[in-house]
Amino acid sequence: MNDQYSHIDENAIAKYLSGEANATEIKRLMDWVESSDENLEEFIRYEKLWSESSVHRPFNAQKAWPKVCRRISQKKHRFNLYYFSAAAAAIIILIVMSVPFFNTKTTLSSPEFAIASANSILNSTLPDGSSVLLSKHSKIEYTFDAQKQIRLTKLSGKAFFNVKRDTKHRFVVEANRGGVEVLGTKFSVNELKNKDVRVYVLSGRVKVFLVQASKDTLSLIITNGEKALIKASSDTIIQQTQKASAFHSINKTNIIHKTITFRNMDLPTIMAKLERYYSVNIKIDNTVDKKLRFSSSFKDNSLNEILTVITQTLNLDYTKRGNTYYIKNGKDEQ
Amino acid sequence: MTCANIWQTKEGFEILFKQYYEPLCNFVFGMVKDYDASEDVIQELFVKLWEKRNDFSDDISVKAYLYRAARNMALNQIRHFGIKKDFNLFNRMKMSDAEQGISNPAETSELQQMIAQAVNELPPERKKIFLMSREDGLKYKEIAGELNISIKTVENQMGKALSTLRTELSDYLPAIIIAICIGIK
Repeated sequence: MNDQYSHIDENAIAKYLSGEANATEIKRLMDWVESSDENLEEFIRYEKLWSESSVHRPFNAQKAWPKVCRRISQKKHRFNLYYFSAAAAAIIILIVMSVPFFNTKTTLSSPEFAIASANSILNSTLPDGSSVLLSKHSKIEYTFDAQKQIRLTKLSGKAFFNVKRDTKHRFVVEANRGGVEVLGTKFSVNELKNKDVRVYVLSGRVKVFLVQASKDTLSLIITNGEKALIKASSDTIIQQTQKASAFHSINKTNIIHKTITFRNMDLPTIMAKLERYYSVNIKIDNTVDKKLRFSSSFKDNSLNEILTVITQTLNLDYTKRGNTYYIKNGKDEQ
Repeated sequence: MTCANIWQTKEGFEILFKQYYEPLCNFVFGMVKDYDASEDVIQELFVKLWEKRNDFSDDISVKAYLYRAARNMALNQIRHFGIKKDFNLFNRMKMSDAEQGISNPAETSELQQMIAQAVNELPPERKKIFLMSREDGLKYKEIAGELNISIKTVENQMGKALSTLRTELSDYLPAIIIAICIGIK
């Protein structure tokens, strides 16, 4: 970023992003954005900061997608011929590429189905009816493991799966030492060069797991729009999109607006957040399941109201002594 | 005619859409200044991109294309329909708040928390102005009126607040951009 445009006034960016810029200011900023890739990246960083700095999210991709999907699907028939030719190409690549791939696996029971992609991506259907979109230079093997009654896919590279629902036979994708167990869903798995594995879930729920060096297995459930990174080097799984936010603002009349949002957060995290927020102590009884999760948003509610909602939802109970709240199991559970 | 990029397939296109829809809407909002119109522009852009997907070669950055096309389409929109003068930011924000529980954008809570912390540490006046804009959805003019300061001061304080966030979170931001790009290319 050493060109003549390297410095841009943050006033102009803030003004633009809040919809306050006039035509001249818009043009000036746009010219800067388009003058180099670095400037575009820099602008995207500011934009990211800007949108993440507020709990108000005016745009929702999940809701907009069905509208766009409907519009692009209507025109699909125009491309039928194209799909046909792509399929023909895929089969040829499959034959060419699969020969060395099978040979390396001679000692093991050969998989039912294997494909590998070369310089283009492949769209394929597995024997169980699930569809796979294989990125360039990637390969998968599919086997039905009759002993464990699971659908097992081994992946090297990057692939997007649309798994056919079959609750009796779980669908498992293994990549390196980790993998994904599917609970019916669309998701992508990307094995990175450093042996880490990145998982992105478009819809549904998946369980991400990692067989640790100590032979224990770590697992984590992620859902719609979330990402997880299986770190081979540090033997851990990182959830990259846990959703939680809490902000408060004070307006001129000194009324405090408190909005507190929990999205699929576990109980200890929720209570820690409430402690900070309301400056109280909250103690969770040892008998309470720490893995309980809760999602909701509260605006201008008292702590008592929030705790009542949470405890009733999770079948818990709470009492207050002094400045300390005690969370314990609900009566009908004991 | 080969499919060089994953986004050129239906499934890949959905991923592309979900990653770029919100940032692009935010991007054109600065020009068209209307939430619904911003969404219309970006939806139209994705429909057009899908229709033209086979014209793309391997080495063209789809991100750069999206931003450039978004700008052009937003300018066309303004030319044809003009800029709405009095957009009602606050009502729209309230509505989206109610929707928030069911919305599920891919987001990074760690970043949000770090931003919240950085905002919290801003000088009191700057923090107040920033929150009046971002949380209460007030326009610069309204903030200036309420606090009895000039619009220029609001502009400066907003710019400085953004600048502080950029500096404080500089180590963190490039990683996010990379994370967003990875699923696609």
